[in-house]
Amino acid sequence: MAREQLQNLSEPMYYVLLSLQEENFGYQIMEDVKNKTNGRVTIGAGTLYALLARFETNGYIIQTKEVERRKMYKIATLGEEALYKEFQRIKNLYNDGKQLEKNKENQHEKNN
Amino acid sequence: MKKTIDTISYLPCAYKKITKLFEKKASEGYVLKSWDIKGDVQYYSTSPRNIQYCVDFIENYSAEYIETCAFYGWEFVYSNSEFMIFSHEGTKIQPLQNDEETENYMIRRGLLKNMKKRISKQIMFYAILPLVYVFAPYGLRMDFATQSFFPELIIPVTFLCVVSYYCMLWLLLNRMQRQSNFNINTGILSKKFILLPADLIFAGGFLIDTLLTSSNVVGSILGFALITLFIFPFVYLYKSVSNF
Repeated sequence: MAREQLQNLSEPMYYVLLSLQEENFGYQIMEDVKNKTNGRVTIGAGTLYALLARFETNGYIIQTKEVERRKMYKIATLGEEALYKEFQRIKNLYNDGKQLEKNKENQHEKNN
Repeated sequence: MKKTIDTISYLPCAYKKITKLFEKKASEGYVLKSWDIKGDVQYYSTSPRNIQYCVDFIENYSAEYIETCAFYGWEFVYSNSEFMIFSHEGTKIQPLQNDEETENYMIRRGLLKNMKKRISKQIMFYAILPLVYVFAPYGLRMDFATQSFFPELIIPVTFLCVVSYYCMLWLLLNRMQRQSNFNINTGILSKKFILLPADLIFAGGFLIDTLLTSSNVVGSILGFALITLFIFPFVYLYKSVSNF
């Protein structure tokens, strides 16, 4: 079966890959994402396990071992590339959006 | 007390409608026990309860998954080869699925899997039709003297039509459900797109076939009546899905 390439990563996808920079398992990933984002992003159990299965099929992550029925995963090279690509995309969005901030500042100065 | 109440024809794209139905039933005092792939739903009667349901299409689930769901408040209710059902009683909690992109992906996969099953069932069902075509004319004392090559093509052509019809239907359903956030009434869709056209193609095909192969008009009409008997299972299916 041909590997599906994800165009853009959704927020949960991004954080799951980010969390898998270190070897991790299901529940721990959910908690890790929650902590990293100060509770802003929470991932439902169904979403997480569906993502793990999808990423594994796509070769974005690999299963390293199984400890007490818990599957441990780690990000693979393909996943790292996708994560970095998404990071660059977000960075570009941010840089492009800076113009908005400048416009708002100029408008504020004019009003004053 | 165990009680079978409904028969619900299952389509993954109607999962939101289905969970709402289960929640409504629970508020009326009928708590879901099981819902098999044939569509038979078993409830047990109890006092009215406030239960939240979730139909999940995860593939190759593990004990770890069920444990994690339980930790976050989702109790496992039932599973089969296509879906799992979880429930939570009490105040609303975080849903199992909270990423729209992933949810859509899973529904698409579930729908594809379901459609494949339906198509293979149809193929199996219509595989017995050639036998009817071969033996029914003898039974009805039809005249084969005028038989030509053309009628022999009708079976494979109609067969092909129905299979491609189901494939197109899957694409159409998928698109419509995505546009409406997976909340379309499956009963209406089935009535419009699945049952009538497919059965009419076959009944019509048989009528044309018998008319061409036989000079006996009464025999042809009897043949048409015979093929309409095949429609009954579909009528039953339609009645069950129109419960929505």
